[in-house]
Amino acid sequence: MKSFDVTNKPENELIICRCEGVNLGQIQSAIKLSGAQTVNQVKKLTRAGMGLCQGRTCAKAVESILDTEGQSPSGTEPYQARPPVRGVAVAVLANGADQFDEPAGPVSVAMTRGADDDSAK
Amino acid sequence: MKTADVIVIGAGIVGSSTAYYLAKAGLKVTLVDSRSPVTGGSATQACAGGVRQQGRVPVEIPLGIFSIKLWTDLEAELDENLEYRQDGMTVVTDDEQQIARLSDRVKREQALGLDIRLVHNSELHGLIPGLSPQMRVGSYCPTDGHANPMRTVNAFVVAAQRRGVRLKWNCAAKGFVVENNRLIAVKTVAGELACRYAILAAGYWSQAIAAAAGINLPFQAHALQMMVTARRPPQLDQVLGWVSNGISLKQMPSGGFVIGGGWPGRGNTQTYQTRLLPGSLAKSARTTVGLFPSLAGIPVLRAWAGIEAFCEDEMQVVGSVPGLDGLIMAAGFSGHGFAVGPGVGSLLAQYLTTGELSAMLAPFTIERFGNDFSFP
Repeated sequence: MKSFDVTNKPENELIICRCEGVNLGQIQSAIKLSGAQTVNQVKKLTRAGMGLCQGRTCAKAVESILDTEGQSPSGTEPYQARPPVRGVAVAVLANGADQFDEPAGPVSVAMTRGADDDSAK
Repeated sequence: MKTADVIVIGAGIVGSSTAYYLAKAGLKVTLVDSRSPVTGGSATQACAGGVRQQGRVPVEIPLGIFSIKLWTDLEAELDENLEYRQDGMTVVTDDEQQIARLSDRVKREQALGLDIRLVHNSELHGLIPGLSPQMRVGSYCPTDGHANPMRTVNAFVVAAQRRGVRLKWNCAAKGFVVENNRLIAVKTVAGELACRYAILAAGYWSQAIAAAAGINLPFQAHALQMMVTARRPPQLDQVLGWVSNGISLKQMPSGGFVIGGGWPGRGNTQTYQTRLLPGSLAKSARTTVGLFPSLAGIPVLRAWAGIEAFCEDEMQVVGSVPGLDGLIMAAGFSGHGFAVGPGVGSLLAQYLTTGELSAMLAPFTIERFGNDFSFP
């Protein structure tokens, strides 16, 4: 279990994203070793911003870390905005399904055809 | 041939793994990308992260089995945590009509050497607690699984660089310089890069690059939607699919459920921007509840989509181009490239070092489209 006691911790263990427990050192690694230049790339590599608050709490901190590491121009690209605005239960989304004509179904792809694929390919 | 220069175009799962295995084989490699790894809108970084052998077109099963063997040791190979889990995948059905067809597929795949079997009723539900009670039969492959696509691409790129691969980001490829039917350079926004070989692994964007050389890649772009939920304690080990229903369901090590299934969104291939269709969100959610009812109350935190290249026959295009010595295609994976990326990369390295293309890649030749490959 991740400890949230940030007192008396070495600097790089400072928790930046508290929803996912991502610390400063992990974010610095993503920038310095993996070449992350934007908040979106830091997010994808470390999970900072992927948790319950979707980056609302840590965004500014991640941006300022990018700034400090010299990624300022690209670091101002905002987190990509995506629905839902806040968590929506699966069943609530599902209840709306009948009102939509589009799409009729999933794109026909091999992974969903499964046993339907009788082709001899 | 050992010191031949190779330019790999595209740093998704196929390009990054190919660059790595080529460098491991001793070749001098440059990996270019129009942007940089793990930026938005493209396929690998948006994918469901499924690593499976079952359910592929039959000619791809041997490649799938080979690639999963690589996956089994991949974290050690790349010295990185990829969140790879090999805890199985089961594709289920509640439909009497589908049971015989599912059984036929399982037999076909067993004959190709896959460890897969049908599981019924109490055995099925014993393997997958939480599965909807209406499901009756499933095709269970214990060596299927999943991994984190962003960590995997990043790990390949970092490991490739450690092995001497030169990385050039924000370096879009525009075409090729060809002399006497032989490739001599890749044209990029940063000038021409001389090479003996180029491997075109730029996903959907391979189409425009190939077209500049007079080569037709019959790709269609689809932006497929994904959703992720809030975390729960671990309760699903396997990846689940449901015959004739659009869903792939898995629980990540971090606890959230990742829901895919081929539901379409909208994508702009010029800007890499994607947007989501509410109907796809709703229908995907409905399918989820039908498959795994206890997820009804879990909040969806986010949805996204990435642009993927589909061929009409839903098979990738891999291999040389007749009449153009040095250009190798590796794109069009039609929504199922993540699992076979390592396998393709490894076999392309074998191809460039031995001159022999593995039989596992032969079905994906560009020649199957019957185009005329006469270059001026």
